[in-house]
Amino acid sequence: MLNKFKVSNIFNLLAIVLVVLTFGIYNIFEETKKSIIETNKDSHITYIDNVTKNIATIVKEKTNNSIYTTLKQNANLRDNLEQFLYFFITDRYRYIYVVNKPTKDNSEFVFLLDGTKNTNEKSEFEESFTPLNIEKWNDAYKNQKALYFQQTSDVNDIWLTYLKPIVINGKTEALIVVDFSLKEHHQIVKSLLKLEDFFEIAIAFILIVFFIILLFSYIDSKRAKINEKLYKEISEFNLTLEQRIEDEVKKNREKDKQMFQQNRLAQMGEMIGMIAHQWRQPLAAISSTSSGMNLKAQLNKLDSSTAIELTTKINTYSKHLSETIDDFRRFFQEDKEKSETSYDAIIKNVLKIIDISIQNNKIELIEDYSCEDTFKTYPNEIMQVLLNLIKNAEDILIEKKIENPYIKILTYKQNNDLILEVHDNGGGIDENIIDKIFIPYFSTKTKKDGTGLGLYMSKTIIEDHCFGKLSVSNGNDGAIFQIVLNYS
Amino acid sequence: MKFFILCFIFTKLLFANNYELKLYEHILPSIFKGKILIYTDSKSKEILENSKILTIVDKCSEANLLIGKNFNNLDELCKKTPLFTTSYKSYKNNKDSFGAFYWRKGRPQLKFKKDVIEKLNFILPNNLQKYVK
Repeated sequence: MLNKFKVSNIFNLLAIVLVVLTFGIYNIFEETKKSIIETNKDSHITYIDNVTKNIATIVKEKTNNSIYTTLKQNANLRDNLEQFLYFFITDRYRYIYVVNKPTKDNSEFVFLLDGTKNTNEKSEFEESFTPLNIEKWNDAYKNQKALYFQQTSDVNDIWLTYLKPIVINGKTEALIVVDFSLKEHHQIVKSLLKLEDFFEIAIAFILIVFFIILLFSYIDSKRAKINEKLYKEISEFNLTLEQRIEDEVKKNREKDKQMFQQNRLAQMGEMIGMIAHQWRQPLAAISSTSSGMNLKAQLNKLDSSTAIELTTKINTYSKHLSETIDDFRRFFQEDKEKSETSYDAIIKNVLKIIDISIQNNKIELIEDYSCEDTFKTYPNEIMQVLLNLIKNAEDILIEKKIENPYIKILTYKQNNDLILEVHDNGGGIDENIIDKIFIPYFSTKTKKDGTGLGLYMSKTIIEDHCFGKLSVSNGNDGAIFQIVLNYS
Repeated sequence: MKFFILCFIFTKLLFANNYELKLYEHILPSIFKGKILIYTDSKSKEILENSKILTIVDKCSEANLLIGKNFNNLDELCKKTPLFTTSYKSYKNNKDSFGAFYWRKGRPQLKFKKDVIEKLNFILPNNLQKYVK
């Protein structure tokens, strides 16, 4: 269960929690902001309301409930009450004054009391006054309910007006007016708005991060799916891999077997040619001897001693033919186990087969043997390789019609390596193809003569069977094939 | 903090001055025909000299309108020149002033005396009629 839980899922979950948490915090902030703004404003208004209530109580008390008449008649009382209003004036409460009821056309009010000390700003008793938003003043007066409003529609205006009706016996007698500032409140609001801006930017940022995480998560899950698919495919492939390798090895073995067979057939073809060369002379001798015997018999000149002599000759020739067959048969016998041999023995056996062909083609055979050591190997297989190399050299010398052709066989020892080389003066192998000559089915001979398997099989025998090395290089006059073997 | 307060006051004053000038440029051409030559005290001069349609003169004898709040020492020749005051006190005390504009408790106050306007044969546009008392 836990293994199936992907890392991208954890990221998705964290991103969602982050977004939900952020919106939650933002909502809490919004509620708190509203609450702070309202509470702060309410506390200001409550304070002003209490102040105006006190003022109203004092004014009512001092004027015996007949405000305008009493104040008009008593200048001292006006001074005293204005002094009282003055006590409440601060930077925050700029103007505190009392106005009488509105004029008949509701366009003006008249001042009754003014707490202002500054003579330039102080209004006179009964001075007419046209306030802004006069309809709100009339409403406060008529409805007998305190109200406040911003002096201008400018949102940055910090000045507000609070109107408190003085109601006596159910009738509004005057309005207490307080022009007050909400500067501190505005500063708090501004700070909260800045914080709100910060929150909004943070939310935008978090949302961007959220979408980026979602995008990466999507890409990651896609990649995971691809990986899973690949893993599945690899698993399935691995399951059948062993079988496939076995099949391929089997196929290769089969192929090699077929190639060996093909090569052997080709060599057998060549061998028949060689047997024919070997047999020509003894057969001719047998034929000549038997013809001589026949003639002498017809002429009655065949005595017993002559017959014995001639039949002995025929016998010798027949023996030679038989030995030739044995040599060739040995050549094609498979080595089941390694046996002790030497390069000299191998060369001797090979030359028995090919020597006549070399002589017939007037090719000089140069022999230079300085390695007489014996070693364990598959002699017949090495013989096949050497025969192949000598036959190739012979073919190229004939094909190129080389003057004074020669084949040089030399053996020598180098450290622990036992080396056999076959040189010729056929001009060498083109450098462009020298790397390809051991590739199967690659041949420089005409289609009729070459199968392209001889050198491939030779390399396989030397390197894979005998654990030696077969290489080629170009010498001064022609190609040099080198077989390197060791003692075991 | 002081900087912000100063900026605030300056803006307020600028606004107030512009407000006054705009008001004068609105009211006076609708009352007076022809070129308006104003003789004024120093405070109002600061506001009015920025006007493109009102002309400030140095002698009250050359003016066809007086604007200000303190004209106690005027020449006899100038006493018949229409007077528009800039304070409640001068508006109230000077019976010959036909109107006034001043600020009270941060609010602009515009007033016209009906009898003086009639006496001077001034015709106020409809939008100013509500300020006639």
